Amino acid sequence: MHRDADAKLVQDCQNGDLHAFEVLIGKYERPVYNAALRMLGNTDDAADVTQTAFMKAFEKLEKYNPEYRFYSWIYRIVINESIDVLNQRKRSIELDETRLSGGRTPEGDTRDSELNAVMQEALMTVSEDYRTVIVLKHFMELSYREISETLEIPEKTVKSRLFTARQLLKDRLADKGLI
Amino acid sequence: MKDDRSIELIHAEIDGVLSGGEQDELAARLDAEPELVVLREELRKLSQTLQQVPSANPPVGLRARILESIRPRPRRSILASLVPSWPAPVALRYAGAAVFGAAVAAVALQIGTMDSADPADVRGLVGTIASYQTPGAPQGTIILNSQGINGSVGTYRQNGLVVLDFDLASDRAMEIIAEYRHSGLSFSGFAQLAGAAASLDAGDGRITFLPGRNHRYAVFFSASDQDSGTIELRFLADEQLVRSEILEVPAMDRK
Repeated sequence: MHRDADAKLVQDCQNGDLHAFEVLIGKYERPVYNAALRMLGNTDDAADVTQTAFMKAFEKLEKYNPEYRFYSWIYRIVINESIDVLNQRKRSIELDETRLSGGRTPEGDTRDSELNAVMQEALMTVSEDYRTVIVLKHFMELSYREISETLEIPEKTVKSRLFTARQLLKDRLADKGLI
Repeated sequence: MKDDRSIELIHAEIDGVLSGGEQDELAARLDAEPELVVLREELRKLSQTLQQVPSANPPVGLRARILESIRPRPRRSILASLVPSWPAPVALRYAGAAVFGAAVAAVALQIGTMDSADPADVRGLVGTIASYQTPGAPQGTIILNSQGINGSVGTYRQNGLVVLDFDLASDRAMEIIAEYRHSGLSFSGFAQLAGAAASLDAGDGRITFLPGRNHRYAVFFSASDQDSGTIELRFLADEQLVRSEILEVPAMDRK
């Protein structure tokens, strides 16, 4: 039903109905933003990447393959965009400590700020491949198969990365006394 | 010993994809290997901790930013081939569009509104098509992102003209009324930039766009004085007011 509803909206968009795309934005703005936020650890970058992801999705809508789920597609775009930003950061000679440690960290003013900060810091210590599967599995709540579809890698690789990622994250959080 | 199969079963249990047979298999392995029990508990805690991390709210205005970035840019319509392509600067394009709009308004008056007493009273004017590009920064902008209306309305000024740029989409047919009685403005023409053929009624101090879902127009005004003023925009669906906004028009430096 979820898939059919999205497919219908995408079809409407392809037929020139801009409002259908607005509905898709309304539906996926939050998860896409959160995926970017967990990947990047910075609210401003996450907002920029979210905007870029939707822009690219809109521009490439005619090439969208209806065999895939829309959210797999938009998540793949946001993950790739996030990795591009991370690569730009690595190349930047002006990279600073505040930005790496999160800058304006997710939900920094809420009562969950400590959990957020520690979790984000731990996430940023694992490689992008591992962080990606953690984000898609635990924050986007995708299945192995959906992650496989999103990242275009075999399910076996998804499991292997996820198991290693969890082990690494568990160790990092144990070091910080969170678990 | 933490072999691969045992680890796979523990992760599968955490992910809720363990079959009945696999559940029994895991139980047997846990009984035989205390280290597995510890690992299972640690990974469970990790999973629970990850679940406790709250989802973040996207920043206010992000959706409007996204919508703004995907709005269709002005395109030349089929009628654009009938008017010269203007290589002139943007300022002159405005002027040209306004003159062309006024010319079409005059024709419309001749053929359709012979009984109109006021030459500024143009009824049923069909959108004049002109090459038009939104210039850099607007003087004022209203961002609309609620009550089924999304997009923006901006004001620009060029060469003695005030341009009102509508770039809106609504989830139902919407009528827009613009009142500008005390703004020192007079209607000069309009260009339809995208969407289905549109028309408007323009009377003294008031223009009304006929219902549509996508509104991508530029409306051109000449300014009769240097006074600042306001334009009141009213959005109606099924003849009911759903929203109103006031757009500030700063004083004009005419030359």
